[in-house]
Amino acid sequence: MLLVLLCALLGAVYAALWQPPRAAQLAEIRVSGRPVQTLDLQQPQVVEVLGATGASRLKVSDGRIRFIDGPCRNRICIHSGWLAHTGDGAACVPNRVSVTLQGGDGVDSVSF
Amino acid sequence: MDPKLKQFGRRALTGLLMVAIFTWLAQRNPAEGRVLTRDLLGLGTLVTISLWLSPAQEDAQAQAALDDIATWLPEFERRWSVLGDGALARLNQQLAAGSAATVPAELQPLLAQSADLHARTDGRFDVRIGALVQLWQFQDQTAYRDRPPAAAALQDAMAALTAAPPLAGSERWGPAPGVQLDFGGIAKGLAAREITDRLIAAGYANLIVNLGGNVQAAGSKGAQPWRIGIRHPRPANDTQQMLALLPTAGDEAIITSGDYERYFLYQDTRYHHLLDPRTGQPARGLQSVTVVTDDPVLGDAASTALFVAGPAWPALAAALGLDQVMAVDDAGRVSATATLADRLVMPDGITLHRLP
Repeated sequence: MLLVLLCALLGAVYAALWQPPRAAQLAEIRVSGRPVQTLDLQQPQVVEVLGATGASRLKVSDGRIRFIDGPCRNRICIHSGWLAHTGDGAACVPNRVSVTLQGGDGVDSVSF
Repeated sequence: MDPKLKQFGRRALTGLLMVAIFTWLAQRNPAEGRVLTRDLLGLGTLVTISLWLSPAQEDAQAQAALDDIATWLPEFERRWSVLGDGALARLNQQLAAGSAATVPAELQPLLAQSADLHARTDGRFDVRIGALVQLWQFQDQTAYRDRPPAAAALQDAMAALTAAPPLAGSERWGPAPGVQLDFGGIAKGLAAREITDRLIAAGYANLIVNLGGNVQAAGSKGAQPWRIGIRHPRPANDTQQMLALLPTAGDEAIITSGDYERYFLYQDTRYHHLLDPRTGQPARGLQSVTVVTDDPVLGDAASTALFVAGPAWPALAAALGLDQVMAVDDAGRVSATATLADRLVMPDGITLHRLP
């Protein structure tokens, strides 16, 4: 009985504390620098984020995220393409919406 | 002793030991230090600052240091923006009125350095291209062109630039009718240096400042170097966007200029924001250039000038004293100087041509 309990405890501690290295898990969405939403990159979805001048649309698929539409005209946010690495990020500056990737093994920053 | 009890005792001891080991593993990283990150919008782009904090450094104090940067950044942006009513915008207004412009003291050092780099790059870096940038509408995030400007307008702007006096770090410059100054190719380098200096002075010697893709690293991430990814200009698939990975070696800037973010397509031709000051047109021949140097201001201007130089970039890099440069040409071929090639980690499927 005690042995079973001990094994269960060990299993629980193992599950809770031991995380293998992973790719980026989360995307933090901010408006004007203020966090408004955190997305799980394993949940395929399209979200609309209300920014300063309208709605930016972001798509999550296969552990990646990208801007797909927005009120900006220069399309720099969409040109940034898919983001999959922790440490990477993109922004729609006219709409004040930014996304940064967190929670996994990756790079500390991206030069582009 | 009952052998069953003995076996149970051994198992219990092993189990407890493993609990101790896993607990230690999980707690180990926070004890060695942690990274604190702040995102800001400024200089028309996403600014991300990462600080590595030792266990002795408190979050609240680090946040206060970042608050100071968040307050300082809009002042810097106003000073160097061609929009609004800051120091540079007022200087440009004087030029637009046809008179000589008074150069405020806070603008003079970067003006002098820009004049020097104009000469050293044989005109491939030129801050006097403000009127051209306006014609192409790359200066304003809310503006957008879907076709090149009229040829006559570009000719006028080029004629005005040719007739303008050379830049100098003096108190007055001009008159230069039809010419405007634009520091979009160098001001981010200065911002990176000033932010880094301020944070180091506040006690944060291990950091990354990322200004819209211009990376300045200092110190390290504890016992590890910082790991900087360099974005691929034409990613072959959606999960591998990195061209290369660079583990940092102390304080250095990693600056990339490319044609893949700020651009529009017109009749299947890509028109991007890196203008050749000698033609008034987007520079051709390369997809991206990355410079690694300990001088972020030089690095910012040089990445622009090397992109403009096209396939002739190795000669200009040597002339500028830069020995760590990587470039991707129009055919997708990746080359790097020997010193940088020896440091880069390349992902599978990307071949790096090491220059002699």
